[in-house]
Amino acid sequence: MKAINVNKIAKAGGIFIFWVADWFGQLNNKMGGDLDKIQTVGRYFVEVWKAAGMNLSNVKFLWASEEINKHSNEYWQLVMDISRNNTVTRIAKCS
Amino acid sequence: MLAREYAPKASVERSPVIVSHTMLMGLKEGQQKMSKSDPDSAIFMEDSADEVLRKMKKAFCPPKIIEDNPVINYTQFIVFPSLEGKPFLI
Repeated sequence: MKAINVNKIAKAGGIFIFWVADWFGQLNNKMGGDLDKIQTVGRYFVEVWKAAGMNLSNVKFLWASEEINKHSNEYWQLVMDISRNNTVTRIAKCS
Repeated sequence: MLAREYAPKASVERSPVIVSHTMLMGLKEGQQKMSKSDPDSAIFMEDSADEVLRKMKKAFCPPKIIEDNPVINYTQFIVFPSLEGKPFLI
């Protein structure tokens, strides 16, 4: 269904950006916390969507580890601001 | 959800929109969703064409009943949109 919906958005002229949360996979100790393995699984996911008929011409894949490190100043300031504007209870509901 | 709550505080022009879709049913009777641990509840990416056929043939599909019918569910949410207006022939 994801492939179907992404194709619909692409047909309507939208650009679909996939946020591949490899860093968060590591945070949750997936694949034993091995970032390389997690990234391999991430690349497998991309192949799965291709196989499911997702039209990738208007799709971008952004890897969390890369993006966070590229914009670390902005990112961590944002994390601080969001934390200061919330309670632990509220953040815990995000899982 | 958190992003939508945070957006006004951050005075961002546009709050993010949540685009979600329904969860497909499990293939067996009474399964509201698929389960990794139950191979016959779902079609896996690694399944061969024969496996897919076998699982669909086995799927719960009470005659003349649309509700809680996984075969109708899959037809509605996967087959019909994928056909993009082409006729569905039985």
